[in-house]
Amino acid sequence: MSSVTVDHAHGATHGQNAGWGHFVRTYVFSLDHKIIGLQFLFSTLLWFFVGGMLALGIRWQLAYPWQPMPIIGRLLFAEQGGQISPEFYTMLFTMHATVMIFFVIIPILAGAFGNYLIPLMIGADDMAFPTLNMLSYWFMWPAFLLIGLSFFAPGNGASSGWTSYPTLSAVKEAAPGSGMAQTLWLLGVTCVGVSSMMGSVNYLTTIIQMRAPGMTMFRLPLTIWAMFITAILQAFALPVLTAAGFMQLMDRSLGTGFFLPEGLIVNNSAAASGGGQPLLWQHLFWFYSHPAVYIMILPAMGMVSDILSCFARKPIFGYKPMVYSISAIAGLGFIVWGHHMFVSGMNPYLGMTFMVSTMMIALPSAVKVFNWLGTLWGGRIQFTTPMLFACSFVSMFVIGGLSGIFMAATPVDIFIHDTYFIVAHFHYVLFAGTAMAVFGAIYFWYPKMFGRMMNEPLGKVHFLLTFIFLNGTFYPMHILGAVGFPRRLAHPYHYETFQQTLPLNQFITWCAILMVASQVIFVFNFFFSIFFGKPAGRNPWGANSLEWQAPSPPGHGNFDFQPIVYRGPYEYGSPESDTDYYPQTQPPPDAKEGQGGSGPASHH
Amino acid sequence: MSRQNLFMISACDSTTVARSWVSVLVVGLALLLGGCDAPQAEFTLNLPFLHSKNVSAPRDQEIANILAALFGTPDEPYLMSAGEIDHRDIVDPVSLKLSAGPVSRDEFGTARGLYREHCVHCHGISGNGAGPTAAFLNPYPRDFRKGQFKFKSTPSGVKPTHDDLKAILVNGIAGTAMPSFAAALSGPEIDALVDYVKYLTIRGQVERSLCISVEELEDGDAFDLAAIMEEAVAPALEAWKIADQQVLAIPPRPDDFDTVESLRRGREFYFGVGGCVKCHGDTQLGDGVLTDYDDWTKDYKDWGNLPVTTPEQVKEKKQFEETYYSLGGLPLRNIKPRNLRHGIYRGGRRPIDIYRRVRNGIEGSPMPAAAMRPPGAGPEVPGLTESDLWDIVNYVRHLPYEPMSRPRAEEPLNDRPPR
Amino acid sequence: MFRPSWSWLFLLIPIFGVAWFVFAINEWPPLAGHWFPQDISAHGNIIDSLFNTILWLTGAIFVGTGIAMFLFLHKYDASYNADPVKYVHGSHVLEVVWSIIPAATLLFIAIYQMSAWANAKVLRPNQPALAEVTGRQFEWRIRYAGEDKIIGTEDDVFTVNDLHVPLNEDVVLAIKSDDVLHSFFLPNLRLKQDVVPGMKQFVWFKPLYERECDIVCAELCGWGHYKMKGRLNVVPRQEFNQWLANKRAEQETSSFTPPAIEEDDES
Repeated sequence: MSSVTVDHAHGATHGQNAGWGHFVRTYVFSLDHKIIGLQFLFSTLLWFFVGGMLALGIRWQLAYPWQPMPIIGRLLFAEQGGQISPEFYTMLFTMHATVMIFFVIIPILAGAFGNYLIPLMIGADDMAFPTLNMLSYWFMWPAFLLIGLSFFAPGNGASSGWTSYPTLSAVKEAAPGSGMAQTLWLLGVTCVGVSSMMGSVNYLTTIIQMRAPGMTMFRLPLTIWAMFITAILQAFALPVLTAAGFMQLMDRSLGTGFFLPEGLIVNNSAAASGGGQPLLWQHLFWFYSHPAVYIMILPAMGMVSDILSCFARKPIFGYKPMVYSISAIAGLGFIVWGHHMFVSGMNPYLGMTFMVSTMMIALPSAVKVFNWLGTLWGGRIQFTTPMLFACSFVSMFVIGGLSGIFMAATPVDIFIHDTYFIVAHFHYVLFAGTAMAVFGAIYFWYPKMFGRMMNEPLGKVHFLLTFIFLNGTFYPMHILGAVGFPRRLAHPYHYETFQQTLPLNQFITWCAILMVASQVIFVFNFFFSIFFGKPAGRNPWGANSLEWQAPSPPGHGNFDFQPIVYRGPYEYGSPESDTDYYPQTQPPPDAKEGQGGSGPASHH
Repeated sequence: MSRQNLFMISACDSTTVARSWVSVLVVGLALLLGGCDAPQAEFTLNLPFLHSKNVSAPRDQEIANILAALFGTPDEPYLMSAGEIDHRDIVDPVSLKLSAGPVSRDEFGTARGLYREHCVHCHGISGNGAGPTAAFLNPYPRDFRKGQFKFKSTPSGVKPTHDDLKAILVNGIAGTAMPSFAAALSGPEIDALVDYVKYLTIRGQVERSLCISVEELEDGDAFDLAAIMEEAVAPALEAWKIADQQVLAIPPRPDDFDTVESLRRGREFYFGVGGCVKCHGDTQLGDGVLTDYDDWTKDYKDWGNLPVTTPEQVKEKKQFEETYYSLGGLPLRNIKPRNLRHGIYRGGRRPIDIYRRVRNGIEGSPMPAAAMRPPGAGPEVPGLTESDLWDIVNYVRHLPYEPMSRPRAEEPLNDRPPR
Repeated sequence: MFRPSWSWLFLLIPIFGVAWFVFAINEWPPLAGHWFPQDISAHGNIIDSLFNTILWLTGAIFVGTGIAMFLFLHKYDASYNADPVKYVHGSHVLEVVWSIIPAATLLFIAIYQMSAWANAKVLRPNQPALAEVTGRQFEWRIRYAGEDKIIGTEDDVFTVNDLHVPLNEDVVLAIKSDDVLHSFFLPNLRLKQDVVPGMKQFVWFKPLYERECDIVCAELCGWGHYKMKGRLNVVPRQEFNQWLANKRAEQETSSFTPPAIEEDDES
């Protein structure tokens, strides 16, 4: 039951001047954080499809090595009878990772959900810097364009791995994709960086400055806390990547030698310069990219916390420990990058230090998992589609987190480094974790975004199929890792050690194909529900946080009343409330109407 | 074919329930999963050579048809006997079966399609040295169709022996992208691939003969198949048959090999009568003549001899280049003399390997055969003797160990003192 | 008593999760041959046992959290559970407990690994390198020190992709790269070290079994990364010396007589 007394007809009611210019201002170069969020959402979902197709290409080659690849074989390799070339395979996994990381996970979390949710959940009418916000989306387009063009450059795209390690990436002759394609790749990633930087500055300012009256920092939903910490991570880590990217660009085109050692001859071409050190890139790259791993999971953790608490109908267990563990993960995230480099040739004493810090970063993650379990304990769990995705996030994140301990242990990492154990680990965190949380979040906030519910039965079928096939795809990769099966090999079966794994790889491939196929249900549900879904109303889930008190979808300016916050966002099942939820804006029984910013102390 | 059936069924579905989104997606998915109709691998014509011999339609199609009749397709290749030569003496039919066709395994687990598994992405389906990966390699992969090979025990103009080609597959070619297949392939598999290379060579050479013979044909005349068998196929087969008889015998090296005196003489020959200095340079760094091209590049046009002094000539060369590229030629690249101080020997590092390079030259490259002194002639006649060659070999083998050849020592950055 | 609930799905996770590993470790079909490759080194069993230790520890946590999750989801499923929710915001005691116990465990794991790591990457045996292995696109070029035990002299023996080492002896190899990053990976010896251009590094091991096994490149090195395969042969010292001498003799082949041409191949 909403405490809201004013109830506008919802929708974007303001601005009556119809016409092309109006359309462009409202839906294309919009300054409204919700439109920008949706723009991010649609763009990233489109790239999600591209990334998925690239993944299927990888899987096809691993299951049916050198067999005609469907579609691609016909388009590009007709003369060879549809059989792809080995450098095409290196392009596939490079671009799969690039697209999924830079165009899907990072922008869908920070760009789409960050944009959409931050002002709504803190009770602001928009971002602090709407124009900057718009630019942060439109800076993605040069990136889309550059990386898209990279597919058409010689070599069919950058192909030195998403980690782009020199000297393979820095010497143009070293690999087919290291020419123009790599230059475009570096420029594209730089544009993503610019976009993220604009976003993070905006989020930080908005969260610090624009909270509604009564919304203290410790009354923020965990989603917002996660976005806040993520924005800090981005703001501090990104400059390093950008600098490293420019250094590589200069090595490639201006004849500097940051990453090129003396006397290098690659593919019979002598490098123009020398005196550098390839490991420098790895340090710089992982100094960004390890925090980036947390950029790719923290917002998902936040959103999952909100969903779990809402559908367990009980307060989140240990709100403050959750906040502290997010912060601890972010802090420790800056001093663990060396665990990507245990066998890279880095000083082995450093390996010992990084092992300890890496082990320690497992701790806050463990605390979070226990708190989620604590949240489920004693609730009244409603198995809605978003809840199913959120629960699966927790159990999948446990797998992804625990497998991380193996590779944090340096001696064990000697064997499993760069094997499929690693691939299993980060797909459990990023796909089974983050992507499942994103699906859950889409199902959860869809009613707010479009004013209609997504179809529940279809959503559950989508969940079930995705859940089964994703485990079929990624779980056996642990086993492959134990065999020592290395990543990034186009045809591993001529090795005596790995030849017996072909049937297992075929199993994985078919699970992957079916998993991608299952997404058809989601796409259908998504578009069908925009037009024919059940109208949602303001608060279909009976949730507490501020966005649910606004109209669905919220109009320009978000709230049709001034939200005043009296308590934290997780007061489900409070004895003070008549219902099993207790919106943040609902005045307590003894408070006077319009009292303002000093709500009762929160329950912590 | 079941894959096609799958495609047909889903296509039918799509016509009946055409307007449904879902069925469109199902068709897309079926296309994706079924792979519908995988394209057939096909031999391509030697377009730059056709163009240089002014072969135009419909003659190009006729040549393609004749080649298909004589040699089959990449999936089902075969050879025919011609003249006196039994094709089975040159290429074992079983080898063709193992090497050709798509990558697969037969019911006994024997690998099929070896060529497409290991070779095709560089050497191309027709053996044209222009597979998808080729353009990124330096040097470019070998174009087999010209029938020339660099590293062999026979003189220039003669085919290599079976063992010569086999050695290349086993050892790889140092300093190039040609890897060693010793660990990846078994002995019989390597034999099969060597045979397939011979097959592609024979096919390529017959194709060239056909292109050349077009000039002699009147308009409307058809190719004379019997004559082709006699004049093109038979010689191409025979060239392989006689290779074994032309192997160069190498006398044992003299006893004073490996002495300072021998090195001094080798150095003298290098700078003097051997003429090595002209290309390999005063410093032995391979920085002498850097502007020449190899024979495969010159096949379309003798780029090295194209005059480019006037603007018109420059423009003309540019036009030639553009036509060449449009016909599938790889970007022009000069051939560089070997840097003798690296210690990388493409044709092998054994004394006899280097002896052969010096004695016979390297076919297809500007490296000439040594100017030998005629047998029985006195020292007044310029030229090299066999013992002189050994001195040169000795000198060349020693060069990488001279102090100035040594690379800057690496710094063992992560090394601790031993325990 | 069975009641339909989504919670059962989450019970499948620990069940299947453990089953995969049980099948793989015991090499039961269809996962026969899907566990660690045979270990032929002196130090490999230390790494394997560390892996197993972590596997047991994490396995216990995995099963524990999985079952707890199932129980909570099952018991508190709103379709069957009409009890009022437990209106609690957390527990200080619990937070402290489940912070300190994992912290201690993780620290223990970390410290427990140190000596194995030091032996693998820090404490090199005091002896010259047997051979120098150079990664280049896309092969392992190997250069044995020869009789003088010094790499870089004229009696060095060169091979490609073919590494022989003596049995039951400490072997030190110098590894380096000509062009791009590679990674020298010996699955059967639990050894992996990235090869960095411009940097000479050492790896060491002691093979305990006669065996031929794979040398794998485990760091992306370009289009031909997958074909950068070598073979390691562990042979007794005697055989090793013989092999090296043969290689040296072959490398010095300095005369050649063409084989006699057989004329009777008409049959």
